[in-house]
Order: sequence, then structure tokens, then C-alpha cells
Amino acid sequence: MTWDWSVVWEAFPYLYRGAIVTIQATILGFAIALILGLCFALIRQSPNRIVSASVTEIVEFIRSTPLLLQVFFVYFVGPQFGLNISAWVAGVGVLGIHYAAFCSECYRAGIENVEQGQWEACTALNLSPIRSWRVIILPQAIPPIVPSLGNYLISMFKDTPVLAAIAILEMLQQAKNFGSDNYRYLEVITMSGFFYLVFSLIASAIVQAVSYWLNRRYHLL
Amino acid sequence: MNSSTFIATALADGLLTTLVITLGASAVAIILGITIGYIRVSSFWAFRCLAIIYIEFFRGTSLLVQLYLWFFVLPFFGVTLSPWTVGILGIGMNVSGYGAEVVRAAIQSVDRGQYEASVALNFSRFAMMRRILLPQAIRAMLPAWGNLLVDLLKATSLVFFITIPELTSASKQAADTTGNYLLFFAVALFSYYLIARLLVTPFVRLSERRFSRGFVREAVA
Amino acid sequence: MSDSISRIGNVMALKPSNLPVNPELSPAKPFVRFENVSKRYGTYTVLDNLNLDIARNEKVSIIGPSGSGKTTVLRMLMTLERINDGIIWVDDEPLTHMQKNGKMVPATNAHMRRVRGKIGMVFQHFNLFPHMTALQNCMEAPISVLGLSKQEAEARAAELLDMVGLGDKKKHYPIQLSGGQKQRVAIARALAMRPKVMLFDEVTSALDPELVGEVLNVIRKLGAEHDLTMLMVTHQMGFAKEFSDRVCFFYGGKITEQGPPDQLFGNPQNERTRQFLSAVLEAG
Repeated sequence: MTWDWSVVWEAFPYLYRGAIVTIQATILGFAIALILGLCFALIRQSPNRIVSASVTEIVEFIRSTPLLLQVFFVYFVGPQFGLNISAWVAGVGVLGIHYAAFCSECYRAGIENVEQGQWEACTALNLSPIRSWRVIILPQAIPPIVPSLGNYLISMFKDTPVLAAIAILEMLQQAKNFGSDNYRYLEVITMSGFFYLVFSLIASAIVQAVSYWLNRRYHLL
Repeated sequence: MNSSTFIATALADGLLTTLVITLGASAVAIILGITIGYIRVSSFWAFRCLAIIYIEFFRGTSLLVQLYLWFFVLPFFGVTLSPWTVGILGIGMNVSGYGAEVVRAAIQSVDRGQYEASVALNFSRFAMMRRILLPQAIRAMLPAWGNLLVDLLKATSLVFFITIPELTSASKQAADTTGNYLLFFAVALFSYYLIARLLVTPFVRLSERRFSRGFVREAVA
Repeated sequence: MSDSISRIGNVMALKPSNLPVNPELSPAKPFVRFENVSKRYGTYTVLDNLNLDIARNEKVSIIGPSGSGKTTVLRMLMTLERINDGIIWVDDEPLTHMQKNGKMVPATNAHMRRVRGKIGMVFQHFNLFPHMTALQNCMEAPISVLGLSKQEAEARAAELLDMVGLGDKKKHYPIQLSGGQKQRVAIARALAMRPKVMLFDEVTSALDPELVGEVLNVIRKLGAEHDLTMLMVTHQMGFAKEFSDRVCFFYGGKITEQGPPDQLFGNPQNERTRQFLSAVLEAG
């Protein structure tokens, strides 16, 4: 079996369509993960032990169970109780929630790395808690963790093929379908792998640029 | 009665399959990860390059792409692997890419003074690695390995796509048969959670303690 | 002390004039009062039944070996530490407690926030906001807490930075400043809130020796020109002697000896005080 460029051209439109879906799912899912992850992290800082302990446990649970099973859970359990969720909403939503758990750990590390003295200065200056978080703590906590958040963006991108299990036609599924229709897997699977690799490299370059810009913006370098 | 026994057996088989794949893939990941990580910091540049290519390939392309490569593409080259082999080797090699990076980071994180002291004491490179650097590096990398093994456990759910009836697919089948998605998916989710907590976490805690002697103050008796 | 109040001069604007003056407060009445205050961590007692009155505009230095609880006194007053027993009063109001149905109950956060508005603090490690310029550091709290307009806050911050001798560093970020300059920004930042009580927690301990003087000069200037009650924990015995009205020596969570600096340094009565002072003198 040898590499056949004509197959590459023939498969390209399918993969392109799949790639668009993959990128859309990644960007939407990551937006959810960033916002929800911050919410998790902030709730975990609550002085109420029960609240913070239960959020910690929920985050731990989401982190240590498979994404695929979580996608199944949301997509199939809803209809059992008359609640129909579209595959797209379930898939992207679960992708976001799953990675929110990981992002919340990043945020937590960032928050805990802000010196205790910054909190004391906020108290001494009588800043309100909300103002302290928004203007003093988070601007110092977030720029240093951008690289690790970026790693999760890339991991999430590589996890999008899981959505194929609920019939979302992302790139790898398109490739697999093309392969089984034409009985030629080599080109399409390789192309997908190549695309993941290239996107990972581009995304990590973007993440580094954002990290550099944010750290300079807040004079933390 | 009969059908419920049948379902219970299927679920138990799925759980066993997940455990076997997790253990097998963990062994592959740990052995290959340490080997490649060690080659990655070799003093010979060609070895380093090979290690980098290995690491970037397994980290940069999606796990599912890799599984499809082994499962769908390799047979066209006359190499047919059983789904089990693909599952254990494929997942193990994928995680070993991440593991190698963990090993590299841990070795490089050991204080440079330790390296200089070993040179001053005229250790051979091998003795320095084995007696001085690795024992310190192992302590630094244990928590990261704990996370990797949880990731690995979760990744075993992806062999669903190459037709191995592990826990996720077994629970999906049971749910499809009975229509009770909530029950079976909840059972499966909690099983993964328990495996992660009961097997992986204490193992890492234990090894942390085993390798931390002399690094942390012993509790005052 | 009274003549320093009359020398307010051109920094008159710093006087907290818009706050209502409590008619009951006679000069003899303390401005800050620690009443039977205790602080414990588990079974370890940091402060044991502390009673300390500080008069309006009084300058009090706290000295003592490390672990004697001296910093804890300031931190409790700033509400950075909860107290276990007793009560702290500021300006005739309870800080750690509040009146409810005629009874004293532990203060709510809102109550503590209101009362601690009268207190400012300068820290050993500056605790400047690293992502804000010197000017922004001094403007943030006046705008978001006192509700000043941006222009008012900027004018106030600029005036204070001029006063601490950093008029040319307004746009600098903390990382671009020396330790002494950072500490002077921190002093300006605290003053921008128009506190009545200023707490200085070992403010020169983290500085290189050659930078200590510039910070102490600013504190001297504050003491001379401003209407401020000051409470400082310090290792600078010379400064404590020269600057303060009263020196308290802490040992093992208690005030072992206190008095005017001349008396405490010149003729200490307590054996512990003598030991401490001679050890400090030996170290140079």
C-alpha cells in the first residue's frame, strides 16, 4: 500500500468540513471552561467549609471520570426524563464542563500563588471583597497561569473526537467515514494526525504570545 | 432475573477489561516514559532528537488518531494487531509521551549544585544519574505521574471506538438494552471515580512517602 | 506632642476634617484601647490579656524579641487577626465587637470595615500592587472605597507622592523602584485614605541599610506635620528613642515594661528589658 495524493485531494473537502466543526467545538467549549472554571475556583475559596468541600469533590469527580462517559450521561439521561438536549449542546457543554474542572485547578494554583500580603493590603485599604478579587488578586493570579490554561486548550482540541460518539461529525469521524467508504485509511488518518499536530503547534504559539502580552500588560515579568 | 444477571456479568466483564487495560497500559507508559525521558536528556544529540520526535508525535496528535492508525492503517501494511494489543500499547505509548516530558522536567529540575557536586566527587555519568539525580527527580515527578495515570484510566474509555467492551461500552449497552441510562451511567461514572481514588491516589501517596525520606521532616514522635 | 499638632502647615488637607468629632472624647480618653485582649493559636498564647491605651496623636513604639507578639498587636488592630478574648476600641467605638440589643456581640464584616477605615497600615514587605503604578497604587482605594472622583484621587495621590519625595516616580511600577522608594509609596498609599491611626510594622526591616534613612525621614515628617496617632513595631532603637512618646517592651505576649523612651532606654527597670537592650546594643 502506498501513499496516494489523489485520495488526499478527494478527502480534503470532508476533512475541511470536519475541521470547522472541531475548531468550533474547541473554541466554544474552551470559553465555557474558562468562565465556569473560574466560578468553580472562586466558590472553592468560600469560607463556608461545606460549600468549598463539595465543590472540591465535584471538581475531583469530573476530573477523574472519562469525558466520553460524561457525554453519554448528559446526552442520553436527559431524554429518559423528557429533556431532549441536542448532540451539539450536550457535546460542547460537557467538553466545557469537563475542562472547567481542570481549569479551576489552574486558577486555584494562580490564586494561591498571590502573596498573602496582597490580601492584607486590601484589608488595610478597606477594599471590598469583590473589588479586591477583581482589581488586585485576579489580575495577578491569571497571567502566570495562561500557559497551563493553554495546555488545556490543546488537550481539549485533541479530545474533540470523543464527540463522534454522539454523532457529531468532527474531523476524525469524517476521516474514518471516508476511510470505511473508500477502504483507504492511510491518507485520511495521517491527514487528521497532521492537522492535530499543526493546530497544537499554532495554538501553543498563540498561547505563548497571549501569556507574554498579559504579563507585560500587568507588569508581572 | 436472567437478563439482569446477564447485564451484571457484562458490566463486571467491562470493569475487569478496563482494569486490565489500565494496568497493562500503565506498565507500558511507565517503562517507555522513563526510558524515553532518560534518552531525552542524553548527552548525545541524535538520541535527544529521536526522543523529541517520539514525544512530539505522541503528544501532538490525538490519542484516537493514534489508535485508528494502529487499528485501521497498520493492517494495510500487513500488521494486524488485536484490539487488546492496540488498546494497551496504543494508550500506553500515548501516555509515555507525556510521561517522558515529566521525567525530563523532573531531572532538569534537580538543583544544578547537585550535578556540580557529583562532578566534583568524580561520579561517572551513570552513577550520578542513578545515585544522585534520579532519586531526587522521582520525588519531584510522582504527583505528575499520579495525574497521568488518572488520565490513562479515563483514556481507556476510548477503546470503545475500537470495539473492546470495556466499562463505558458495557454500561452503554446495558443502558441501551434496558432504557435506564441514569442508573447504568451513574454506576459507571462512580466506578471510574472509585478506581481513580482507591487505586491510583494511594499508590502515588505511598510512593511519595517512600521516596521522600530525608526531604521532609519526619513527624515529631 | 501638642506643638507638633500646631505645625500642620501646608499639609492641612491631610487632616480628617470631614469626620464627625465625638463630643465625649476628651484628650485624656484613649483613642485606641486594647482591653483584656488575648490571642491564641491552638494552645500557644501569642498575647496574654493585653491592656494598652493609646492617646490621640500619641506616638508609641513597640519593641521586643521576635515571637513576643508585637506584630500581632498591629495585625489585630488592622483586623488581620481575629482576637480570642477581650475587646479593641478605636475612637470610642468597639472595633472587634458591636452593640446589639444592648449587648456586645462579635462585629460583622460591615461593622469592622466601617471602623477600620480610621486605620492605615504599612507593612514590612510593602505589599504594593505590582500591576499598578505608584500613582495607581495610591488612587485605587480612595476611588473605590471613599468614592472620590478620578481627578480628586489623582490630585491627592500626587500630593502625597510629592510629600514622600517621589514626585518624579508617579508612573513607575513597583518593580522599577528600590525598597526604600517602595516603602515610601506604601506610606503614601496608606495616607491617601486619611487614616487617624497609622500602623508601621517593621517597615525598615526588609530594606538595605542605606535605604532605611529615607523611610524614617518620611515617618519623622509625618509625625511632625500631621495629626496622626502612630503605632510602630521597630528594631531601630535609635529611632524609637528619638521619635516616640512612649516605648513598650513586649516579652512572651505581655508588656513587660513601658514608659517614655528616655526612661526605658536610659534606666530600664526590668531584667528582661535590660537583657534585650544590651543584646541589641552589642549587635550594633
